[in-house]
Amino acid sequence: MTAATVSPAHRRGIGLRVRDQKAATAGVVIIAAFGLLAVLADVIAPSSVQQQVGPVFGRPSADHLLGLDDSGADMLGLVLVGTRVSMLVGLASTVIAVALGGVVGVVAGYFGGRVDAVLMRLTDVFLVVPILPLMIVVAALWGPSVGHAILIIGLLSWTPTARVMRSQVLSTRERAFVRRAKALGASHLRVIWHHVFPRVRGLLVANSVIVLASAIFFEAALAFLGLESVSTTSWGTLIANAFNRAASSAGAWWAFVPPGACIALMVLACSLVAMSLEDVGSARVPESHIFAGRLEVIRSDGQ
Amino acid sequence: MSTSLVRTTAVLGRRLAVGALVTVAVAVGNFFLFRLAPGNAANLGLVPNASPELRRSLERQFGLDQSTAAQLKAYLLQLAHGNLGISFGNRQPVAANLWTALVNTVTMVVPGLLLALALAVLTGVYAAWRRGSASDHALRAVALTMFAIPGQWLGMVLLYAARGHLPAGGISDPFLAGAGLQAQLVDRVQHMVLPCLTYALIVYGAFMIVLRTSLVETLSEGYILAAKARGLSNRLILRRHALRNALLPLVTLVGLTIGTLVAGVILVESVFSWPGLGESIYNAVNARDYPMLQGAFLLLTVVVVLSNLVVDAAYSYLDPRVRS
Amino acid sequence: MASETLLEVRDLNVWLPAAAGAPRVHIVRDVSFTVGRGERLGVVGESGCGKSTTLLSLVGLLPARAAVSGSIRLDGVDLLGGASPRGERLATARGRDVGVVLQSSMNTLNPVYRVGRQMMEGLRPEVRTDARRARARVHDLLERVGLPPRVARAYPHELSGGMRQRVAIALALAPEPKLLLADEPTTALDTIVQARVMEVLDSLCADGQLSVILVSHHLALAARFCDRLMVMYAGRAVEHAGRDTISTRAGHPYTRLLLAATADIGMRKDDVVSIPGAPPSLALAHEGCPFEPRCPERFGDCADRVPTLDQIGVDHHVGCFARQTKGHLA
Repeated sequence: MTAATVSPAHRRGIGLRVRDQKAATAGVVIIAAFGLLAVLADVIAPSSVQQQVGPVFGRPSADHLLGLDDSGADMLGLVLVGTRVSMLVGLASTVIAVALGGVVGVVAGYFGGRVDAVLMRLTDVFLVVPILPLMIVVAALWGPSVGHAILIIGLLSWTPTARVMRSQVLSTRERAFVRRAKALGASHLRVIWHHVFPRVRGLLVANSVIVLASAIFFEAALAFLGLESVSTTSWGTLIANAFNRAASSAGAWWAFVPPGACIALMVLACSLVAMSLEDVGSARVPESHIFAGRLEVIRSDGQ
Repeated sequence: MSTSLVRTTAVLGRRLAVGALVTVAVAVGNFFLFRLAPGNAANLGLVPNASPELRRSLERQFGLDQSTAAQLKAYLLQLAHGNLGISFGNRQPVAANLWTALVNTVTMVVPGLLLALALAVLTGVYAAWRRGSASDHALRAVALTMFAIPGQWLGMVLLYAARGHLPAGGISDPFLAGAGLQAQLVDRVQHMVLPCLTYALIVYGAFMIVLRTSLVETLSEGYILAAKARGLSNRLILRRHALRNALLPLVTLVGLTIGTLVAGVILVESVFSWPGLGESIYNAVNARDYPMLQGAFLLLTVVVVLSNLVVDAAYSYLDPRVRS
Repeated sequence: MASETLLEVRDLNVWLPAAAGAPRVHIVRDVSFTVGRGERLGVVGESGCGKSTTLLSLVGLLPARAAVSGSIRLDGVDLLGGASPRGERLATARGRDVGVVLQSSMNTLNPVYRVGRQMMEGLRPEVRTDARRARARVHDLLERVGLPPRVARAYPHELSGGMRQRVAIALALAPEPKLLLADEPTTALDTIVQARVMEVLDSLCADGQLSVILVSHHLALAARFCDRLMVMYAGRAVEHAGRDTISTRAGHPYTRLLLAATADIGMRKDDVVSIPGAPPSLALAHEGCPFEPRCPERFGDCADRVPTLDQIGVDHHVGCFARQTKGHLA
């Protein structure tokens, strides 16, 4: 069904296109590289990364390129293994958030009326409530664990996706092919799946990159506040451990710079992908009317 | 004029109603969250080292022997009187703790936001003016990186860079209590530098990118060409006509991202032990001080709701089109 | 007719930047004309023929990386000359001696400021700094374009399209210019409002002090308002004459097609000139008369050389081989 259902959407000018090919490629490559590292972490890293192999906060050396952490374990191995948990939390909670937000948005936009009103008021409330404090409260009550972090981040990050999906579906709902399909007696599920969803799928993908960035960020924040279990190794807990053992004052930059750089790089990659996409319908920004240069006057008489 | 004033009031009134609804929803949600969670109210009486008075006050506060509805009613009634319970940590009323913390948070956030805004305006205007140039690309790359950096990490990096030169945390040096006013002032400023700078830098990125984009769009508007045709200088056009209009999306952004701004407060205050709302949450989580956690969450919600109202008011002040 | 010359443009050429990295496009090609004190010149042609660029280049309202050559003399001063010839004099003339009314489809009023405040910006410094005089002047300007003083207190979005355009005219008049440049001032307005705005322009010129250059794609409208007309095609002037000459004895086949096309659209809102075919892209090089592919009267020479603008009658210049040959024969 892919080719047949996607092409009309493009003909009708709905969807997204890549505006900046270089930025998009760079972003996708970085995300894919981290994904690959997460999968291969066990193969690359030594089997027992948590083991003490030297002094507390040992300096970077030929044996330990990124030095040692607050328990004398090898930072490089820890960052590699941490990639796995951080990517797992990021991706799993993104899937939950995007699925939930997608369903809420599509249902609200497609059915409209009372369903829409109820779902959107709910969305409004969640948009106003400060999300990180809410996550902290729930995580504190529920107890620290990776599974809880995934569910909490996933279940509390769906509102922006729902908003975006709803407005996109609204613009699709009244289109001729949707009304025709309805008139022909197609079931709601069928109309949504075959006619509405293909037209909002691109936006959903673009949106999931933004959700992924915020999920990575939230994972680090919850871990920093001690809401991921202490025994877990993730980018967030590595930074938290370094902080709890005063790595900054001790001058052990290697204990927190690498995991933080991974988070920054991952969020940057997601931002690059999201920013390089634009609506097919959007016009390019025209020329500025005022500018730095002056008018060039060409003299014909050689003056 | 008067009709547009009425409309503005009506819009703000509706926002106020939604805000009140959200606040009540969070208050009620708070009640159930802390009741349904494992390790719930029944355990609260078993707070380590709880004095008999605290235990009694807790039992009274939570009305553990009554029905859920009666408990909710009692809880909301207490809340309406500003009673948020007693902190497990310092045995002081939560409301009093939060008030002190809120004041400290504001003294950190306001200078931080102003610094971020100033930086964003300076670099955003320059990047938009030199659109497409190498400096434009570089400034945007820096902003995007700042946007991507986690606040707790940036705080630690700055702590590392300034170690030995600036205090590592807290709001003031307790040993200076008896010292002169000037010494205390210098001490306070030294304590403020790192938290404010960290906060400013993490919120700067989004500000700059939005401002630059909206400025680039504004510079292609007809009224810019018209202002140029009127003989106004580039500088004047930029300041009076372009920047003013380009600030509108920034105001919207602030409104939309107040939640993110709050997240930054929690992380930055935690790193620098700045005794504000964020650190209250950090400490409450670590000490399992549920009344404080509950109270801080509620207060932050109210702060966000009120900030949204302020943003709406600011927007309708800046854009006359919204008023009618 | 023999009025004092206010503006004299000689061999004006304008190049505008195309896409980033691409070479500049030669938009205006060797255009010359004069405007006398109190005279009204109409510049007409289809969109994309360089008429707006010609107009806006007179005050340097061109995009970045644009280039000009030729001479623009206002009251005898060459605006493109001077010690540092980077368009400074164009900028000085702008908003002092020359007022500009831009296309009504552009939002030429800043939505966040009241009309009065924007009008004050354009006043001459000595008037602007005296609050009472400034206010009186704003009210006087509004009155001249037929608007009540309370409009000064309004925001642009509170005004209708016609009122906004009258405000734009008042803005252009604020510094008491000698010359008013109007670029399609009524295009986006409906016909009745269009007529009102043209009446306002007409009344402003009544005392013979203000010169006007009106750019329009609507030949009939321009001919009603202006003393003289210049028809442009593909960046060149192809015919130049008094309005009666144009209306009755138009020389260039393009002018005649324009006349025929605009005659019957008078009352339509979306008055688009319809001549079969389209003007050529100025980015592509072509030999011969640029109108040749669409010309009903083309013959041998037309495809090889570009005709120069030659005089074929009293104050009547045409750039067409067919006309020039016949003119000489007559």
